[in-house]
Amino acid sequence: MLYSLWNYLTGYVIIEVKGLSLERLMNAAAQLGIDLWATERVSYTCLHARVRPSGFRKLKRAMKKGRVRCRVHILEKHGLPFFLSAFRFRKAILFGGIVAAALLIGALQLVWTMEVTGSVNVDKADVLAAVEAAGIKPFMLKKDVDRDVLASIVRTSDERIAWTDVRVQGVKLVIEIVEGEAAPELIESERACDIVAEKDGIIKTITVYSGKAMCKVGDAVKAGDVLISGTYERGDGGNRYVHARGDVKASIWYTGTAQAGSTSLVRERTDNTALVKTLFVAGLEFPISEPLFALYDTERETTDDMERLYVPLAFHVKYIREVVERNVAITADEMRAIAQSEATGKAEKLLPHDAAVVNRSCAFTEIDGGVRADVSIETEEKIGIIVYKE
Amino acid sequence: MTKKKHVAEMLHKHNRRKVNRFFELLDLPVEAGIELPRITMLGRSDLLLENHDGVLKYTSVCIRAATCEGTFTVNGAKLVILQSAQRRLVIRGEIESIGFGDN
Repeated sequence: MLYSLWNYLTGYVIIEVKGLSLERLMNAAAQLGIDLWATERVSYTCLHARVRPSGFRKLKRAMKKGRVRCRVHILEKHGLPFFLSAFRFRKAILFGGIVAAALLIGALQLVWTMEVTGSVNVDKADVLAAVEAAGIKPFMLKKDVDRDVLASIVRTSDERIAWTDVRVQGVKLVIEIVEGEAAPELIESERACDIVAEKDGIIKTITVYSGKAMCKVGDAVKAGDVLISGTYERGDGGNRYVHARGDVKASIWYTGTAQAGSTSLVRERTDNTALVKTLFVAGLEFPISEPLFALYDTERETTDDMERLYVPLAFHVKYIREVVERNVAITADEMRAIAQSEATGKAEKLLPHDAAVVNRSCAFTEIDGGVRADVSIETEEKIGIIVYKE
Repeated sequence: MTKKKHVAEMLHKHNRRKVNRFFELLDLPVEAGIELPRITMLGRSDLLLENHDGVLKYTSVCIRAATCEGTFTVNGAKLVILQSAQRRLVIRGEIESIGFGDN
């Protein structure tokens, strides 16, 4: 392969030699130091071979001197020198090609876009803001980006981030983060404290390991009320303080309210479809076509990301279908169902993710031709939190 | 072959034998002194002939080259000389037989 590459770089010609003493020509070429290769006897008086341009000139001189009685002419020319000679009267195109190559190479040295991957709870915009605060911006030189320092800055910008990696893929700066789990709260077991209520509720169970219970089962408590006290009264009038410990569970209610009228807005899809095309260049959006409909649903979206070619271009296509809204009359049962569904959704948004639901209830009230639903969800939760004494 | 030529060839061979014997006594490789033809063949398609004294005949079925040991002949089909630098010949094709002499 190297030999072929060298031949291309230096250039060679394919010659045809005609005559009777072809072997003498080969021996004369060897004596003159002319390198002949790929020699093929085509017929009794004809031979094809490959030779460098300098070797061909030597051969011609030898023939002129009468050393060899053959005729030789060039069949084909190959190699870089012959390719470049075609441009000797078109220097502008060669110059343009060199300038284009230089611009492309220059563009490849810059960071065009930045991307954050691996974030779940941490906002990508916050990470990018931290990167920008560190002085890293688009269109800066790749060699000016200190990846280790930037990774350290990003990792310390948010305590939820446990690990960070910064790398450059082509013209894109990729910041990969891994979020860690929050460390459990340290409890100072030697320090005096009380157990107070975190929320309003009715006490279901109370278990005291240390301290004095300040409420009993069935009591209604409000947020901030002391449930288990860490203060003991001594006989001499003073107080003794301990670290209160215990489990307190209470019933808590979460409510949601919603109304539904006698008509409902219904969205109907029509048979009209269209495409919405957008071009993204280095993060900037350039719409190619606008949506044809005022109201529409997006059926599917495709994005052709050309960053694998190290070019910051992305072509986005959205397939949309026209939607028409109209009011339709609904029955009483439908009104109740709509109101209850909406109210339940509101109440469930307030629930803690690990709450044990004990009971659900819903009450309907007719108002102004419509229906109001009041949903109540009862849960049983631990409501005690530690409050240290000063 | 004339008598003069025959005598010259016999003397040449006799001298070469003496030089070979000298190099053997000194445990030196024989080819260090006299440039004997070296033939390297790979399968039935590639052949390298070194230390030849010129191509005598070249056709697509037969290639003859002069060496100090006599005429070296290659018979076959579709024979192509890949390289013919000084005293070095690279032959490729369907080689049927090789040998010394006009066969």
